[in-house]
Amino acid sequence: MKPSMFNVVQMYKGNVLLYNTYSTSMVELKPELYNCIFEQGNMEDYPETEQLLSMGFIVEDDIDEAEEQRQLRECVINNNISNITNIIIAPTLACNANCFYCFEKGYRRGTMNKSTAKAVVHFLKENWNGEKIGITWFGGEPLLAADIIEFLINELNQTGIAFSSKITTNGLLLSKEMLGRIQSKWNVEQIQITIDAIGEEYNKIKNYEEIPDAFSVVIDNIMKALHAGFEIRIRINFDPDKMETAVKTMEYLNKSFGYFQNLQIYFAPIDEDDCVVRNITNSFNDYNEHPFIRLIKYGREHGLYSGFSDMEGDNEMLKFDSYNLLKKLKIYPSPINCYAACPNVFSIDSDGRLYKCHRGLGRIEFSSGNVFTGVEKNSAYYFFSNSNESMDECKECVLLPVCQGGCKINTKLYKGKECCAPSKAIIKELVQLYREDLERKEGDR
Amino acid sequence: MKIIKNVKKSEMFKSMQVEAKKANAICGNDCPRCRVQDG
Repeated sequence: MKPSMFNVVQMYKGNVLLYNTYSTSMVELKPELYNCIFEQGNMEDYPETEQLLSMGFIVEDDIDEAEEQRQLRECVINNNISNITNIIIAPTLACNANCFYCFEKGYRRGTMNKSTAKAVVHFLKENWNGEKIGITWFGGEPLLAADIIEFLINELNQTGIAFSSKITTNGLLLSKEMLGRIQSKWNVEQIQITIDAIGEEYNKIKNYEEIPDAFSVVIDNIMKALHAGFEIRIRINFDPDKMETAVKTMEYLNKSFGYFQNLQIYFAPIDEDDCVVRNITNSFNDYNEHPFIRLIKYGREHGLYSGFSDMEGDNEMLKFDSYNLLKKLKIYPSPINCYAACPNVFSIDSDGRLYKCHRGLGRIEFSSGNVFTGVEKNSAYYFFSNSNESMDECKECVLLPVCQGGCKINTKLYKGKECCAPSKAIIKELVQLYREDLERKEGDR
Repeated sequence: MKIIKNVKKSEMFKSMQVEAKKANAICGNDCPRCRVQDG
């Protein structure tokens, strides 16, 4: 027998706190007992060994834990080999904003024409599974191409393809009139809007063309959308070296909209080269507290992690995460790294090109065919569509059950560890928070 | 030994397999980078 590679080990109030990132079990051991079992390897001498084995802290010698995780990914892939159930469509790659961190910078041009739109619908008709298909309207800024979206929707309806949709938008064009159009026939279940800062700082980051106070317009639009009953998800992209901005933004949003039940607020680290924005997986030893843990604590204290409807219902993980704490702390295990690995997942750009990953939109080198001639199983296709990890070192990472090998395209787009889960640098702190939250919840019962 | 949370690895394995088998491919909805929808 041997210790699991997924054990997170740390001293906690005089004992050794052990957490397994796969089983999600947690125990405390006296340091002497930990040393005997795990350091000296006297596993068979102690009655605790059987339970530690059952909980995954100890595994048999012939177990390859990284391979077990790969097999889970393979299982998801094999379950998604046939027809398309969800698709991301960028009706335009043009954008009215100019965010410095946009992963599409240099590629933000081109709007879909009707001929391509017809081909998109024909492609979907040939490749869907006959059930309701999930469409995410992406961009560029998709609302710049509202007319072509409505053309696509009319074509989908005429073809008999049932669909629901989500929109990822900057919100500037989300006027009352636009909301009316969306509500009438777009079948929108969720609108995602990014707010990275407040006031002038927001305006500088977004750098809209010829809009003097875009921030006020977007905030007003969010209010209208919330009153109209749309499920709104606000994403705060943050620079770890500008935490005051992220915290102030969260405070502002919570104060302005926190009473709406149809609102979720979450934050995500900016993906950029490490020399432009420091990678969140750095240690940040120059601060008293890691920026990401600071944000998590702030959100935890202010109840900003409400929602997460995707974890409700009959999700198997609820058996092991009944309070959604693992989800809130971003350390829940998952069977797949990214659905781009699945053969039936595609994004479509404004020229009708097909991509395994939406982050490749507009970059022809990442395309795998088009809606006119069909899927091309080229090197870009196989770069994504497999059960491999993003980096060799993933095979030895304690966080593998959480990230399942990370974001493959980020290894190509950025220099650094942009493919890794942000929780990597703060896993010990997150385990401590999880322990505290579990104790609190149990105390509340 | 104090057990704070007891989940059998075999139970987690079974649940992960169930999740893996019923997972509908939703690209970008749960990315490994930030565990949230992209955009």
